[in-house]
Order: sequence, then C-alpha cells, then structure tokens
Amino acid sequence: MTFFNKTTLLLALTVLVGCGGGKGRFEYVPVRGKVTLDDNPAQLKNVFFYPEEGTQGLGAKALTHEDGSFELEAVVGGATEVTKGAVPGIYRITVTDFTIERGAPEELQQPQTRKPALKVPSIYSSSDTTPLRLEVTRDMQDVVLELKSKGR
Amino acid sequence: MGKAIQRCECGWGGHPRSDFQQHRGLTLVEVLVVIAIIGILAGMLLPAVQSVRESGRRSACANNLKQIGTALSGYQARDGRFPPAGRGYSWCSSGTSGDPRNNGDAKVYNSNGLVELLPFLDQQSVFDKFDHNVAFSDMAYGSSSARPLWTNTTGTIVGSPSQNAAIASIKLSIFRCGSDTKQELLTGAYGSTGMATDGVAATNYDFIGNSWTDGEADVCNSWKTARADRRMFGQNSMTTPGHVLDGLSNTFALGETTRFHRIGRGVAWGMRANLMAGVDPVRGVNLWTTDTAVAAGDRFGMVARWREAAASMHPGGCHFVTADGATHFFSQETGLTVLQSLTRIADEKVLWP
Repeated sequence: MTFFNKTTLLLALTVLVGCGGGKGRFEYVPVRGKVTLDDNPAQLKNVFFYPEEGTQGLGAKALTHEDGSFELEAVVGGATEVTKGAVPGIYRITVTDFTIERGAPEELQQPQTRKPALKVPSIYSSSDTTPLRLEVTRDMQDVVLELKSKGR
Repeated sequence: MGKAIQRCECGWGGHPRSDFQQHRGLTLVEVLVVIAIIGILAGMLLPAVQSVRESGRRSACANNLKQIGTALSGYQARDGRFPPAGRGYSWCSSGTSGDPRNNGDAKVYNSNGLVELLPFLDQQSVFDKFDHNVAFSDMAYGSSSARPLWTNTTGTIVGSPSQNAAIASIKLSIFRCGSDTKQELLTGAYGSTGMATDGVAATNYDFIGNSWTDGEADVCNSWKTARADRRMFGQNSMTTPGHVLDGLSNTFALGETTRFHRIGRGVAWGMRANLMAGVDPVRGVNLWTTDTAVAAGDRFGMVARWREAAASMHPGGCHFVTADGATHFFSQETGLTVLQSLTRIADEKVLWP
C-alpha cells in the first residue's frame, strides 16, 4: 500500500532528533577549598584562579562562605548556565575583599551585611604580585589557601 | 463498478477515473509523509539561510568597527593624539579613597569620545548639533548617596545638557550592529539610580578602557596614573602613538559590546553615564549572565556586568579593532594571557592566539 512503513519513519525521526548540540571543548574538574588569613577562616573573599600561560580557559572564581570555604565556578565565554569547576592546569590565584558590585541590584548585595573581619593584604589582590600558585588536576584534594599578613 | 461511475467518482479534472487511477490515489498517510519530508528539508535549509544572514550582518558590524578605527587614525593625524574615551565623568570618586590624582573632575561633562570621531565618520552635521561647551548628560552621581566612594560629589555639571541629550537619542547606523537583538534605546536596567537620561541610543562599539585594575575600588579615572596595566583609553586620556609601546598593530583600540548589560546598562555613543567605562576584555569575551532570575532564552547577548562589556551576538566571539585600524575576530575561548597582552598598551608583551 504505502511505500513508507513505520520503520522508515522512525529512522527519519531518529536522524532528526540525533542532531543535538555538543558541550564546550574544555574539560572542567570540580575544585573545592578553604581560605585562611593568619590561620583564621577568611569569609567574604573573592577568589580568582587566573590561568598561567599554557592553561586553557578563562579561569575560575568563587566567593568564600563564613567558614572560609569555597567552590570554584569556571568563567566560560558564551555560556548561559553556571559551570562548576576549573580547567586542569596551572593557575595564579588572587584573593580580594568582597566589595559590593558597582551598579548591582539590591538583591545581589546581601553579603554586604556580613562584614569581612580581616582585610586581605594587597599583595594577594593583583595577578602580577600574588605569590599563590596552584595546579588543578583531575584528582584534586581540597585546596587550602593560607594567607599571611605582613610580619606574620 | 458501473454504479460507482454513475455516482461520479471523478478523478482530477472531472474526468471519470480509469481503473488504474482508481487504485493509485494518494492516501492520507502518503500526503502526510510528503508534507513531513518537505518540512524536514525546510527545517534543514532554514538554519543555513539564517547563518548566511548572520554572516552578512557580522561583516557589516566588522565594517562599522573598521570605519571607526580609520576615523581614529584620522583624528590622530589631525590632533597628534587620540581622543579621550570621554571627559569629566560624574561617577569617579572624589577623594574618598585611593590615589588623590584619580579624583573626579571639578567640571562634569559626561562626554563620550565617540562624538569627537563623528567628523571622521561622515557625521559632521550631527557633530555640529551638539553644544560642546556644556555637559552631555546630567547624571549627577554614579550611585546612591549612601555610597560616596563611587560618586563625584564635588564636581559640578557644566550648563544644561538637555539639548545634547536629545541629540544622543539619534540611532546612528555606524554605531549599531545588526546582529544585536537587544534594546536600541537605553532604558531601565540595574544600577540606574541617579541616571537621569533615559532613551539615549546605545552603541555596539566602545573604547578599550580600564574596568578591572586588581584591588582598586575605583578605576574610573586611572589612565594618567596607570603604568604597565594602562589601557589605550580612559577618562581624559591623552594617548599618543608614543604611549603605545607594544605597537599600534598589537594593541586593542575599540571593541564590540552588546546593548544590554545585566549589571549596569548598555553604553551610549552620545554621552557617558554611570558604568559606561568602555570595553575591557581582560577577563574574557561574551561573558553572559548566568543569573536564573533572567529567562534562559534572554541570557544570550546579555552581558553579565559592565566590567565584562567585551561581547557580541555573533556566534563564538567578537571583533576588536587594533590602533592601526585593522579589525580582528576573537574567539570566546581566547585565553586571558592573550587578551591581557593586547589590552595593555605598554606591558611589553605581545601575544596573539
């Protein structure tokens, strides 16, 4: 009767549905850790993992919780969803005090109420001067970033 | 059989069907299958057509940037230096923190260097409409008075900017990229407190300026004190080719941006206001908002925040023009070391992807 049977139709549908999109070309591995300042947990610090030459991707960032802990989110060009982790490789790490994002709406400013107790020494704030280096690998242990004030 | 013919079981054209035709009519299933096949073929063709249209828009956008780059060279040939990104910002801090040399200006103009390029872009008539002796925007403060760190509280707005603000609402095609589907006139966005001018036209191109100097609360007026991390433009910048130690062909001059920034808002071509700090690609390209408060379909093309303005809605990256007037397309996967070396004008590093 018909020259198309159900199998052909199914096949056509499979081909059509099968053309899905792929993910980005970098691999991301989860990175968790903790920031301490003079051995105290450092809350409300912006942590930025800055890729060294040879490390791919746009780095990763996090804001520390009250106990100083953090979990990295990768910076991904073109992404519209959060990507957890970082691309394996070597990073310079900057740590800065949280400041309210200039121009941010009120609901994004809540951490302002919890004031950071200790200020991070300025040496850690610039990717040119920070002494912190770390290699992100596929079987990462939790990271501990130990910051020291001058003279400690 | 004969009865059936009498009931006029007619084929196409009203003629009685032959025996053969009677058996070979199109069944409903066959018609549906044919329609489905046509649908599938059209579905395959449509993305191809769309991508051709986008590539056309993309080359038009790159051409705009190329013309602006050429205008920049023309300006430099006339004046010996490049124009500033703008003059007299109202949102630079005034002595509350940082280097006192970076304080906001006493006279607030809120002007935009793109306006100074108009005579070199065949837009002398628009240039002449502006009153260049008064301010371009009456935005008094960068943010609420509760945050004096971000406001120029001692500066005074020069004259009445209402006439200039009206001209800034002209949509000039040279500053507009057709790939961008976001708003063409700047209207309500976050961080708009204190921004008095609504409805000015957005630009898809802006000067490279510093938004990212590490650890500084306010970078808005840092061009004159900047050293290795200096960008090509800034408030009151007086860049000459001599400043650009890395070479004009190895330094970003302007870049693409989109017309809607989630934190901040878009950038105008005819004035400066809060958070219109220029394009600073040192943290990447096409960094869209991932905020779940924004509908998923709206996030593409919506820059997360003003610091991350380097972006376009072309697939996979955005254009920059180097100070020698050449345009380049950079992938959104370009590494930070490359972006930083081309953004800094005198870091003595020249890296290309």
